Amino acid sequence: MLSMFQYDFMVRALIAGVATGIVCPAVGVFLVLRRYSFMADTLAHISLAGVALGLWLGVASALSPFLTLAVAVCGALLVDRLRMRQRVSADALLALMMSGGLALAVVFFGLARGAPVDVTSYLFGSLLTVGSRDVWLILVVAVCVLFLLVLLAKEFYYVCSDEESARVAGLPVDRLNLLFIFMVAVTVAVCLRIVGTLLVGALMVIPVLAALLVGRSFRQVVLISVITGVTATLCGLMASYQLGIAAGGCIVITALLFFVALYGAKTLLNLGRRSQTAGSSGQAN
Amino acid sequence: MEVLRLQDVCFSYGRQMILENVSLSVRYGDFLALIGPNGSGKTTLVKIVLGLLKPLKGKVFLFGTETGKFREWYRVGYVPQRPALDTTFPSTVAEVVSAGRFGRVGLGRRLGQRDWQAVKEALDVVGLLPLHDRPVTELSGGQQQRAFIARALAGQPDLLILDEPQVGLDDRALHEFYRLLKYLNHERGITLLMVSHDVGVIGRWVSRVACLNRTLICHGTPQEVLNSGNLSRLYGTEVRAVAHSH
Repeated sequence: MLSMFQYDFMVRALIAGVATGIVCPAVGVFLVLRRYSFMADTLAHISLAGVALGLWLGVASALSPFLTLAVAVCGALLVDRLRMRQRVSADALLALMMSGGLALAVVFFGLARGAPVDVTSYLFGSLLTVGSRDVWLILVVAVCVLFLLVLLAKEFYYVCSDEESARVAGLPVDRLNLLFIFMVAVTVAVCLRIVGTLLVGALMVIPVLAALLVGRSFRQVVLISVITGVTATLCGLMASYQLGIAAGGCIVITALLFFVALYGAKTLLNLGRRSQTAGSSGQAN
Repeated sequence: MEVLRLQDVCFSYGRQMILENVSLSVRYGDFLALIGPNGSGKTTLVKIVLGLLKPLKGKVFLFGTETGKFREWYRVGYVPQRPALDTTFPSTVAEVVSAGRFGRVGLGRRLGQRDWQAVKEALDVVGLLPLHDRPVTELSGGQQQRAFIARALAGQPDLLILDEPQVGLDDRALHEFYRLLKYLNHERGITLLMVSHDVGVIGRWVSRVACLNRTLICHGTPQEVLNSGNLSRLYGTEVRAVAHSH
């Protein structure tokens, strides 16, 4: 097991994995609670279009992550604008942007035929392709996003739980929403190197769903989400190394296992409680 | 002193006029019930007062300042309609109530000792202090209602606006609820504006009633306003007089 630390690529993957495992669920809490679980997936597909655009244009590999970031941010701004206009319902808008992003990605990949890149590593995540530059980028983005989340935690909490009252309290709700979607976009754009386009959304959503099963306060939900996210990412990366399977799949399956375990435990606990109260009321009779 | 003044306020969604030339003033210490049938524009009026909607015509003044220029929003407490509140949101009662301080504390700042003291006092007033670390999801409808009132109170407002707060409360909870409002009004000196479509027992508790159905139909003390003539004008059909004498 320890042998994996001999490889530089594995150490890089673990560092990037920890950052990803913390920042994705931390952002995801607010997404899930605002019922925007699909936002991450949408932005991931738009980011993929950015990756493909870079390949087609032949952008130097040092610059291509920044192009991906730029495309993701533009996509996020577009989603936010269209959301404010309210001509299309929120879920339909996300579906529209998601398929649009994917279609663009397919076209750009097609045009870039012959580029020496393994597309599946972008779709499902990969350990081998994470370079030291990628690690730095993930770390910088994770630190910035987490800093903003901590700084504005109470504002995001209020907007997320009761947007109207937050507005009445004088909070700059529109600007906070814009900042938040921007944070989601940059997080998705850098984290998809590890988890892959198709599964980065899952890492934002599943740990949060697991935490919602057991958390009794907002603070607990955030903490449990992050702990689940980091643990799932580390276990998933190790499984990926041992079994030689794409990282994204291993990480998300591990997160799913956490969810199923907590779900089962909660169901059993509720059953136990119910039979206990039934027993005690039976005794009272 | 005037807490709120509406001056010839008009509002429409598209071509449909929702409010026409509504003028109303609420003075310090009033407990005003704004009544009217469903779709009469009550909630729209509240949203205009809160600055969530802009009037098509007319002006709204809060504490003497026009709402567009008003910056002291922490002086206004707001308890939204219950269906608008997500009671499945994972929060403890104390977390929900602490949000009432956010408008006062400022962006990016943490709540200090004084803020938590205000949260504690607000919880105490509504009788939820013993349940402060319970998830809101585990509370009864009446308790949830009180938690959201405590949130508004935590900001130590001078004006408290409640939008149809009675919805979903049973008779006992309703009685407790009105007693709480009366306490806030009398003992704490908070001016209250309550929207309601229920004309049942309101007359016994409030100091003034305004009837709205697109325009302001009548306005005065419960004894003056709540008679069958006004109510049938308001609701269009025969309604029995419900002004309760003391």
